[in-house]
Amino acid sequence: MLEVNGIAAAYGSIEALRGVDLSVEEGGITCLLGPNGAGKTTLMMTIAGIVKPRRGSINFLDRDITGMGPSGIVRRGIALVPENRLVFPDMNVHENLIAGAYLRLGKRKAQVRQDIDHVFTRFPRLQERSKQLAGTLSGGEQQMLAVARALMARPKLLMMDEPSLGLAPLVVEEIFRIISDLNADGTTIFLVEQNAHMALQVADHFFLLEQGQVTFSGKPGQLSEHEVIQRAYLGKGQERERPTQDRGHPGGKTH
Amino acid sequence: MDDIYLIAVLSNIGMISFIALSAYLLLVVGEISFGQQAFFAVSAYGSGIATAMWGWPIWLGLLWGALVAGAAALVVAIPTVRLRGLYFSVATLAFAEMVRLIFEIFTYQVEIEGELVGPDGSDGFRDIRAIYDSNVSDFEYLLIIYGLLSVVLIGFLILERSRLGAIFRMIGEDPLLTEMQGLNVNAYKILAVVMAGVVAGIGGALYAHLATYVEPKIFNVMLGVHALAYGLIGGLGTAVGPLIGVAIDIGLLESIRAISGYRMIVFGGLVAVLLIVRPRGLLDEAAVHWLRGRWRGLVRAEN
Repeated sequence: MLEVNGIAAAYGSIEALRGVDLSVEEGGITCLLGPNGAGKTTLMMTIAGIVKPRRGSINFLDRDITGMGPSGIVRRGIALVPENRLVFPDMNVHENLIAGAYLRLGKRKAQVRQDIDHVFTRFPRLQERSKQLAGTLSGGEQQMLAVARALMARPKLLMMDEPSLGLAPLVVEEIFRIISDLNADGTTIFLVEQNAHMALQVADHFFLLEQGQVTFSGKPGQLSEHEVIQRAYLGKGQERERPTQDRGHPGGKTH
Repeated sequence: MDDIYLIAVLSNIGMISFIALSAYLLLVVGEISFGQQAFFAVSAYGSGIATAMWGWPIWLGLLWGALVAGAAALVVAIPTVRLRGLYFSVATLAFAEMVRLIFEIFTYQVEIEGELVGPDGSDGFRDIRAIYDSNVSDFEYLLIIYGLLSVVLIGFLILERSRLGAIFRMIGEDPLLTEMQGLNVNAYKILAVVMAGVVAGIGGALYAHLATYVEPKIFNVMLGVHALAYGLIGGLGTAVGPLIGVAIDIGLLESIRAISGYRMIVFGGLVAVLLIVRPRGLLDEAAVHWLRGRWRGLVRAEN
């Protein structure tokens, strides 16, 4: 469904992605794991059209979308739930949901209304808070709202950047339950995670991204969870080269 | 109504409200313009030329001024729309100063009934007499000002509840997240700049005809700074906000003679305090949200 071929991207002279190849199969949950600074968020932003790649190509449903702007890519059916910038804080919950459907609001009002009802059935808590300003929701509720808004665009592929970040364990479980439910209802999901334990429970396929390159591709179980966690948090390459010190990536987070 | 002073103050509040609404619209889309006075000026000159030199009727002169201001705004918008934050502010400031300096040297005069009429560089543009020639009284002109202001304000209030208004607010809150909803942010921003230019233009055209005289130095950067401050004082949650800002500044500080000497001190202090205490003004989004909630509650209780 989505094919990323040899994508390289850089911020100034700092290369964040150095030739990434991966693919996302239709109907599944694909997960991208890797340590801080490996380039996970940059990859998501590049697929979404926010960061322009220096090299390589991106195909979605057999069409080249390399270099397209973010709005064009949303129109093609890819929605991104970004990390950190989740909601429009000074708009209420209902307005945030509508915001996800502006592209078709003109022609298909009834359908949008139906989708909102549908989203409210899935997230009853959002319905209770429909008139509340989004900025006043809890972290977990904002994450739900961000997912719900992305669904309003009726995406074929839903990309999520660290949906569990900064949330309490119970809320994380709820978010992952929602992810599984969405997938069961037919949405293809591409997930960036640090929480390897949770991610491996839901993923059909996963990639490890270390220092801007994919270093592993396979199904959960093909690597021991122990090794995945070690590499997802610390980066195996570095550990082998310098086993005693300086495990962290010097570049820090790239977003 | 024959209190000349009161009419003058109210007229002033009305005309300045247009430029305040103009700066407010750009604040809503998240951009700070220090240059809205340029569109006010372009329209003041444009409409003055149309009525005093070309002999057009007033209403056509006002329309023409607003259109010229809108066109000027489009010229500014296309190259600057990709600029963010400080860069946009500096670009608008530079444009406005450029416009002012052009009017300092712009001379275009024709002889009408033995007298030269038209802009004469830094000496300004005299005898824009259309409203006096057609016997419109100050009070009638006041009604015209507030009639047009009401139309524009109602337009803003409709905009606030519309899809377009929501998109403007989204861009103001987070342009990137807005783009990620599939919306072409730059196109909407160009539209906002043009709309703001037209609104400032209406004010400028009204101003030129009431004052009968315009000169470049009226349109210096302080006019634009005030226009911005009105929204920041009154609040960015609704278009009523900037009007409250104008009423506080001109209605209270400038017009009450006992305190008008301290106007800039009080006004500057007020802006500074509010930016700390209520960074988005008295009627900010949260206040408007709360008021709407109360209003809905009241309506429900009535029924």
